[in-house]
Amino acid sequence: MRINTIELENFGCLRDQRFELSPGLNVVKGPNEAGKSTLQAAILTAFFAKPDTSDQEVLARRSWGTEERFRLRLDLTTPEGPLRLEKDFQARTARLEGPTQGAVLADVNAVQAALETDLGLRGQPLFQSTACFPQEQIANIERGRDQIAALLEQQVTGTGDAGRAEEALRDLGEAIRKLSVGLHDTEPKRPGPIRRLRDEVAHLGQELAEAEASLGSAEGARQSLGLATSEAEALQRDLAVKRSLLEKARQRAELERDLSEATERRDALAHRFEQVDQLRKQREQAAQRAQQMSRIAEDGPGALTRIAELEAAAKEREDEADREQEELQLAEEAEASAPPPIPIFNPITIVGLVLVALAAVGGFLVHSAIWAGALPGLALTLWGLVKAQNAPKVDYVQLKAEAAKRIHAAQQAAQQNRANATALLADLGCKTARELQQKIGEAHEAWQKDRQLRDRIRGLLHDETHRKLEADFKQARLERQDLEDRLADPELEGTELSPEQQEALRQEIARAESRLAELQQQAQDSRDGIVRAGVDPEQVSALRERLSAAQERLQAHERRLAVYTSARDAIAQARGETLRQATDVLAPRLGELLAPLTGGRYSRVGVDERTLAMDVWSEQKGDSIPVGVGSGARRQRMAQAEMSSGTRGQVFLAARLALVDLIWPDQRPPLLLDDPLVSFDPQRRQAAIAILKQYARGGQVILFTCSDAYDSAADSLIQL
Amino acid sequence: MRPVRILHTADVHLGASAAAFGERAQAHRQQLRATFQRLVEEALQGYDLLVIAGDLFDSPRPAQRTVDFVAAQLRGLGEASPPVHAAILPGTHDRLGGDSVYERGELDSVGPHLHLMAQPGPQRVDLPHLGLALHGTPCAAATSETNPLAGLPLAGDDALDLGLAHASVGAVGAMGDETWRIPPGAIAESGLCYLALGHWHAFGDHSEGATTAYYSGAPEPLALDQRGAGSAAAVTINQQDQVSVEQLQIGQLRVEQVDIDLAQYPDQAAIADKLRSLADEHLVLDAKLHGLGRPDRPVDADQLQEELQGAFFRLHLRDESHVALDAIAERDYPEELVIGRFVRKLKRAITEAEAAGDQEARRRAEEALQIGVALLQGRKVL
Repeated sequence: MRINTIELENFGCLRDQRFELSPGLNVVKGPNEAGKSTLQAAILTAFFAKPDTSDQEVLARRSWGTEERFRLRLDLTTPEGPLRLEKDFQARTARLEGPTQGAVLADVNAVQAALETDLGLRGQPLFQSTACFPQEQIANIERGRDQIAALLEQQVTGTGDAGRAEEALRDLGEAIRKLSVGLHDTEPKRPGPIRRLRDEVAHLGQELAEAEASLGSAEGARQSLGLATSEAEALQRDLAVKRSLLEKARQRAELERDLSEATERRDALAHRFEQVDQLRKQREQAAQRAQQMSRIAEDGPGALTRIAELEAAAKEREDEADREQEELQLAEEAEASAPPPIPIFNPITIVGLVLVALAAVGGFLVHSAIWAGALPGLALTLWGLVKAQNAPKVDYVQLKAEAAKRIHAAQQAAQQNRANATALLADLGCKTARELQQKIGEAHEAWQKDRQLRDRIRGLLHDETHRKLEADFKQARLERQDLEDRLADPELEGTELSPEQQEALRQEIARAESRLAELQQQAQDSRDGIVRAGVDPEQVSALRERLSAAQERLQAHERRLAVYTSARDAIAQARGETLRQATDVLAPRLGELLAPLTGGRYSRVGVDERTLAMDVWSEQKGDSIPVGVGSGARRQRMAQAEMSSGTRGQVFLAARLALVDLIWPDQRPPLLLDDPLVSFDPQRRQAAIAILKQYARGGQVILFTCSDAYDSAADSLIQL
Repeated sequence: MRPVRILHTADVHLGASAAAFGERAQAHRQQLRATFQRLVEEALQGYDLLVIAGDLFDSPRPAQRTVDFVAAQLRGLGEASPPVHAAILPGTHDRLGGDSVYERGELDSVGPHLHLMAQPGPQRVDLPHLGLALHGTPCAAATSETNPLAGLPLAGDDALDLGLAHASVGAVGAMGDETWRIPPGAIAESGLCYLALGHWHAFGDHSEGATTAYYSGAPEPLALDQRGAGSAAAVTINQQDQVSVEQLQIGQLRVEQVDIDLAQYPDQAAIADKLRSLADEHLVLDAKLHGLGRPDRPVDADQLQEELQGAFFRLHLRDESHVALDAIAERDYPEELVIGRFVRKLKRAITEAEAAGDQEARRRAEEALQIGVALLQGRKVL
């Protein structure tokens, strides 16, 4: 492909220019700042920049003093025919017209794709590093030996700025080194982040394991505590039952003993009480009898004396009566011989009294005058009385009456005495004195019996009262009843244990108490274990979270390390493969080009596939001479000493041309050279021009220079 | 006696170790405590009853200091005049099991105003001074087919029946688990005036028939997908026994998700700027990098995470992006060049890892590709 014409509008200092180029070697000549670089940039922009780009570096190429963007138009010749390329950065459009397209391409991307693919421009990086030869890169060989290797690598591999692959490898290596510091040391002094995180993860892992173990231990202790507590509670319940049973059995036994004693006491008291009661009844009878006999006892002896006296008096009276009887008999005998006495109620007095009575009645009933008739009656009565009164004084009747009266009185007195004696006896319940005498004896006996009973009762009461005994008896009975009731309590039901059973129960309780003590100790140990554990679930969670976070950070760093390592390895491999392929082709072609450039002095070039360091075989020396690229100060010193800067420039020119052959074996793009031969001697410059002429044949070489040295060789000379 | 004001919460999960919070899990636990304290303080603002419908603790045997903290907070309710009663139903996390915090009696000393529904099976707590009877079936296992509303001993007198349940609502499989479940229609048939639900972490109305039923939601999110968390339910039963429920924002943390399509951002700095624009100390941000990244613009998610973590309560940055392999025009990377060979090698490695299903190797190769390309183009990315 070649450029026939190029038109520029508003592009840098070439504001509105049109240039015509010819096939072969085109020399664009002009002084500094005449626009050579601008024209070169215009060609590159036309080839590779998209009109719709926002790249300020591209857009900044517009002419000064205008806001309008630039337009570029190129007429091209390709194997398929002529083409017209137009890129309007103001309108952001691109057009490509030509027979190979069949029609106009107006899409920016389609135009760019056609340029780079169909027309073989490949891409700007590759083009710029091979087909585009900036002068300063040749000059750089002189100025910066340290960058030679990188520059050559850039030239060969097309990575834009110098040494990017190597720089990338260096940057990645440094990043990997920083991440990996201390990874393989036992105790690194300043560990890198991964080592620090691994140590942190290990430490946290251990801490977490210990905390989990502690928590597990605490949980185990808690479970043990739970089990011990449960068993202890069950045991305590069982113990409580057994203790209760034993206590009830003891209470029952005690109650039974108390009941037995209470029964005995009650029975004893009952016996005494019955005895006393019986004695009291006997004494009551005895006392009653004594009481009954008390008059006899008290009055009996006196009465007996009195009765004797009465009997004696009665006897005396009876004797008196007997004497009076004898007197009476004498009086009767005298009376029998004396006249009878006139009585008071003689017929006269009786008639007088009747008359009085009749007069009184008649006075009341008939007439009060009748009462006067009473007077005769009264007189008769008086008369009768006087007559009787005046009768003779020896009154045998009276005598007899008196005698009889005395007899009677004596008899009466005797009878009275006897009656009194009888009454006395009767009063004392006796009929006879003998009976009285007997009863007096009986009364004495009754009194004696009462005393005996009293003494016996006193003996039974033991200085107590009967009431007290009765109260005691009732109390004993109540107490016993209470004991019976308590024994009958349902709580005590089934608590009858034999002493052997009680002993067995005591042993069971002792064993349970021993076990309970063990469990309480276990519970205390568990509590101590929980306290000793000193961690809770949240602390473990926090540790787990810290570990997880550290693991995440570690994972991120390790991932980053893996990413860097992958990138580094891939870049290293790509670089190695690229260089290997390049050097396989590059080395012989480079030798073919270098021989004419050096007048046949150097024709064999070796290229290190790893470093791209070149060695030129010197027939004169019989050894390889380093070109001055590659690593190592010694190599550079050797190169500086053994090869001129011009020769090294020729090596690099040969290398670039060899790369062009390598990359564009068929369709070669125009080669853009920015005065690369300034360090060549005239002979080798001519040789170089001859080689460039060869490359221009069938294609196009555009050489930008401020020198006249190329004028004669130029197929077209453009003066700026 | 009425109206009665009830503060309903659930799923506090005190002591939880939330893996999603990573290094901030400890801070998250402290936040849970602070939020529970706020709940108690809220309950002291004129409420008659605080009900906790399960999972107050994250485990049956929480740390002693957490139990002590809860006891101290609940004790404060009893010191109010009149005391604010509290009822706690064990949930699936702090379930009964013989040795749970509720069965060990560690909250027994709080006071008579605390009602632990910690007996296995349906149970009832009478609060005559409020005219309420509380009902609930505590969880005794992590999973169960038991309907927790079955067999509740309703009051049948003037007292209003209020239920607590820690369960899912709906048909089996509705939420993809087989845990404690209230079947469809059971709420309507329960006869309860109000059913305080727990287990689901988002506030939600599940009333059926005459029964008002709500999930209070967890007071704070426990995972990155719990955007509905952060609330409690303020329940009022008026003198006509009508129930009204109001969502009460109680939590401080909020969860948001953001998807960052790498195609929309030119480089890592732009992504950092985007994330920085969302910065909030109470925000749990689940950020996902996705889409196709440029092969020459590596984005280091780990570095972004490290750089921006402090601007959020928790930044969880997931990198699910891939390199836009299709965007790698081989003409831009000729095979003859190192970069061309490098790109091809890594593309091959990516393709092989993808074919092998090794996502980690794929991602590693993608990052290596991006870093390598950037370095080979002369950009400082390390």
